[in-house]
Amino acid sequence: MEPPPGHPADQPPPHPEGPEDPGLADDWPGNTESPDDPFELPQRTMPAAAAPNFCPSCGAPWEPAWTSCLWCAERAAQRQQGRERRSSPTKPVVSALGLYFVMLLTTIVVAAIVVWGDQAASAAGEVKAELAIGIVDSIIVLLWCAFSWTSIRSGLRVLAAGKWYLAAVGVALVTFALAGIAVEVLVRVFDIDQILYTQPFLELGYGWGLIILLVCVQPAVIEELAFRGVMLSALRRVLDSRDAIVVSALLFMVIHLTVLSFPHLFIIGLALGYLRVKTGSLYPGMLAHFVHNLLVVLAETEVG
Amino acid sequence: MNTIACPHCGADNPLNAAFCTTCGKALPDQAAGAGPRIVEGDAVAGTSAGRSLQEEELRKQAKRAAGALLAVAILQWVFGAILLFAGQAASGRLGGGVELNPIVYAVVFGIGVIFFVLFLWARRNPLPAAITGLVLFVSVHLLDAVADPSALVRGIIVKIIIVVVLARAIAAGVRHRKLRQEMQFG
Repeated sequence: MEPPPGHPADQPPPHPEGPEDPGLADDWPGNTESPDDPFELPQRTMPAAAAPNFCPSCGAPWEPAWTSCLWCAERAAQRQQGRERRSSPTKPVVSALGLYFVMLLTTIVVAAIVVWGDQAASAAGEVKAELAIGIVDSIIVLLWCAFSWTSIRSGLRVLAAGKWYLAAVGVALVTFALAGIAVEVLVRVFDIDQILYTQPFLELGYGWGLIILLVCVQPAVIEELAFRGVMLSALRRVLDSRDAIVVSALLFMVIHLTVLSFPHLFIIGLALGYLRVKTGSLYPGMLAHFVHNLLVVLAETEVG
Repeated sequence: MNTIACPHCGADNPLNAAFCTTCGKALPDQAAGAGPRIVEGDAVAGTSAGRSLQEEELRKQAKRAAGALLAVAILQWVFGAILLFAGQAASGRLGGGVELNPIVYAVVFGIGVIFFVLFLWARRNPLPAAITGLVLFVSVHLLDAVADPSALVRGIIVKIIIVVVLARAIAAGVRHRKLRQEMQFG
């Protein structure tokens, strides 16, 4: 067996709680074995009095304070991650699609209940429906996230570089422009009424705080968690990233149920999916989604 | 004796240590008879004949999935045509007024168009197209059922058959993807 190319004497030892960044161990020059290494030796545990200078399993320098080799622990954690990634993707995909269908059903069922219960189709009815759907969807998505925590964990832990947040704002400007054009076309060419988001709230005397919270913050956070978090991560286990982005965008498009918005919703879904994959983080997408909705709200009140 | 001496520094080490605990250098290989390793490259076709066989299998799976989607598209158009003619016939008999809302025709034919587009996509890339097809089909009929619960039962057998056909298309898509991965990466 060849001696390892060199000891990582210059590298800081891993933190006792274990490294967060899965890429850390790739720096360790001794980590050349493939995952199913038949030569894998058990992680060594030593009492403090008999602490070795080097780990007998991996040859890394042994910090005097250790009772077990942390480089070995890190490699084991990496292998476990690799095994998890290669494990059957059926359950996560079925679960993700389950979330989609539950969200689809709750939207239409809650809207139907409120609309039928409130015959006059008044502003109060619309507001109630939106509030109810918002609350129910939030609970459902958060529950699902709790159960699929390992799939979305990385998207929430990674904070993308600052430039991506600028890019997210740029994306929102473009998607807002697209949506605006689509609405203009529908209103002028097809003579279809524009959906007003803020009007019913203002009529009933609800403040701007609630509007921003319900129309801008809640959809941004919850829809990103659901579509780019749970669904996109699950789909990426069975599809290429590009195909997964397309399918998640289609799901995002259909859930809004407004057929005439489908074209620009699909494009928004593609853009947000691309942000998630490119940055590895859910936060730029959340920002883009928030800014887009905010612009829609502002534009609506500007126009009156 | 239950220790082994390091050939570099002479210190004692446990029997199955791979590295010396004193100087950190590699100890001589202790493990013997580890057995043959299965190299994943065995899945790559070595000859051109083998390669073309794999490609043929790939095409077959893609065609299976695409065919299912095309079948659904055609079914939708046929159903739409039936509705159209039945509506016209009924309105002819009753003197006009039983015609269905034109939105219904638009939706039925529109879904047919969507499945035709999915068919085209599936010929290149069957798995995402098949997944989208099944999800869309179930979504449309769920929404239909909420709006009009009796619609769920009408033609339930055909709907179940279509769901099964689309699920099999997904299975074909999965086989296609696995085969393509094996061919590329071994």
